[in-house]
Amino acid sequence: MRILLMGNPNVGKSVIFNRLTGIKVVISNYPGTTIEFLEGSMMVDGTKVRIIDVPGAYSLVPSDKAEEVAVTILMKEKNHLIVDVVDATNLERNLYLALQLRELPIPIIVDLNMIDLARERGININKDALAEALGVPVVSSVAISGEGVQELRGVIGKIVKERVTGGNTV
Amino acid sequence: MEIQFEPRIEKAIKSIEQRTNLPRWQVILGLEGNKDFRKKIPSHILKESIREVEKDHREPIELIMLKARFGQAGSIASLTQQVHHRHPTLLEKLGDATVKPLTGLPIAVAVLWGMFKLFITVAGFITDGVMVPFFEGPYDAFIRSAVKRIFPGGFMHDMLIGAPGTGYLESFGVLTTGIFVPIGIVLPAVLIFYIILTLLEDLGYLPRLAVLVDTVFHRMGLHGYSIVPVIMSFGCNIPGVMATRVLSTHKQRFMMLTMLGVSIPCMAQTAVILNIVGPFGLGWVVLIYLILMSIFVSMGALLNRLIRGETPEIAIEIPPYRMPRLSNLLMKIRLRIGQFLLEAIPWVFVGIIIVNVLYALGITEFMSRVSSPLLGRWLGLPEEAIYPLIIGFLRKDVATGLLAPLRDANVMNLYQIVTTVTILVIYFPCAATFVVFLKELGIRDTLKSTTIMLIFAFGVGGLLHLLFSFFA
Repeated sequence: MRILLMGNPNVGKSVIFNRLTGIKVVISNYPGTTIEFLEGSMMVDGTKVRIIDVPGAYSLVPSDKAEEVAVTILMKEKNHLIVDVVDATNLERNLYLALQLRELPIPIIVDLNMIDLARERGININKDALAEALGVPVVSSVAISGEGVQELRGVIGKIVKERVTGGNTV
Repeated sequence: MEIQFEPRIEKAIKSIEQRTNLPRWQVILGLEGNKDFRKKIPSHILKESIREVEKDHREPIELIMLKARFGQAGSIASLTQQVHHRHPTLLEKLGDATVKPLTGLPIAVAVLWGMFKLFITVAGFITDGVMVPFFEGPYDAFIRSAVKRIFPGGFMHDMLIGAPGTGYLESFGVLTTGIFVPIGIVLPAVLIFYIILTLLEDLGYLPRLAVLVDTVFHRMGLHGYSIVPVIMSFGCNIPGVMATRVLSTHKQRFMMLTMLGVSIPCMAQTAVILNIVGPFGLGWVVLIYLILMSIFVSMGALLNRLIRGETPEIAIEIPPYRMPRLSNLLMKIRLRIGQFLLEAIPWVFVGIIIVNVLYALGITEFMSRVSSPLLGRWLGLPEEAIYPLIIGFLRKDVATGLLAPLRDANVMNLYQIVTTVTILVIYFPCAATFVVFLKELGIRDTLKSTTIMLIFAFGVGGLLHLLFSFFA
């Protein structure tokens, strides 16, 4: 069972990775901190699930080495679920990758991270409407304080349970 | 649920789907320009299917798809999010102010000056007020008597605590100099510097500083592609080298790696430079950085002309200012200090053992004699400078730290210190960085790169000596 954490650079993937796995990863406030991928694991209802912190990518058409690594991880092995971490303060730009990911034959969860900053900036995102438009579950989080991470875990758990068997190679 | 493209694109997608039996998502990725999936579509089918769309839009298919996707993203975003108008927050205003040259440059100068003052005060206090008294007092007495009891004399005695009669700091024993330089001089410097830099990093100031420098670089004819690896290299050259993966051509990567190796001192080394040269005044530290900066710029321009290949520009994203989290801060500092202790000290021991063995075999004497035209006449350095230069192949921060005893014993004067520090920054990547260089560039380009470094190091060193002997 393998879950990918994907998303644009500097949206908080590594913080979510820390929260889910308890593994300490160096986190910095600039894009491109994760260049090689990291792997950890978490328990979901007694099943051990591998989680990969994938380097940031803006698109599935790679234009640099970090994006190449990201696409290779996505395409070359069997993956069961993608958690697309989205910067809630930059929804439109982040949706580009989300739109590409949702077309793949792998289930995906969209996590609107940094929702607190978005709120502060007067950005209100209608989660239900977004979930309907994309046709995928949408959760929101503030990874750095841990808000919403339980909900994300819950949704991951539900999907993992549904597909304990199966999985797809792209 | 399917999100549709406009009818003519859909027609092209469907036609390829039917003729190749590829699933829709693979066809779309292929049209968007992903090479792996583009390959799966036979070129005549591709050409026939997209002819109409391309003719209609008068653009290549990749661009059409890109715009279509952004269209989709835009309409979903406008359907699901409401943005209320509001005034920019204080942090956002600060964000703008620190990037615009007019306000940004003075702020940068103020920040750097503040960092320097804070650093010199605190690190100086720890080294001179705490470490030196401890190592010269109780530690010295204890270690000397302990070693003498086991090895009353001979090679092991000299190796552990230095030859009899030598002063504590310059004794070059594993347990004297080998402990004091990394713990007493380098560690406090590194610790304080890490704290300050980590703070600025998490706040988000570093990329802004880079953008500011970038606008200056642009005016000098250099592109902005180099910024991310440069920022990271100021931390440690290894992630900096890895970060050159954001550059798209081999030429750019070779250039960037060489330039990083030559003119970007890592955090640990910067800390030690501040510690060693700082007491002579901020002006000398600034001088060293000006020298490094001008090498960086001129080398970039030179390599850019000499090496064939393209240097396309890349855009970088500036993160917003964020409030640093104490827990993340502490975690990173602990991680970095841990790494420092684990990586630096073994290298120092190895280095000092090598130096001692070379000395015992008479090779050091031979080397100083052979290199004396280079060291003495060309660079104006005393024989003792050979030690930091040897250790410099292994760990640059510690090599720089070795200058402290030489400075305090008046073996080297200010000019010689400045010259040696500059040479040390330029001349070779430390052993760990060298390994990463090998991995990223391959052996041939690594050798090329290090040759360039050596030439620059001794060239610049000689030039400095020449200048100093004019003025002093």
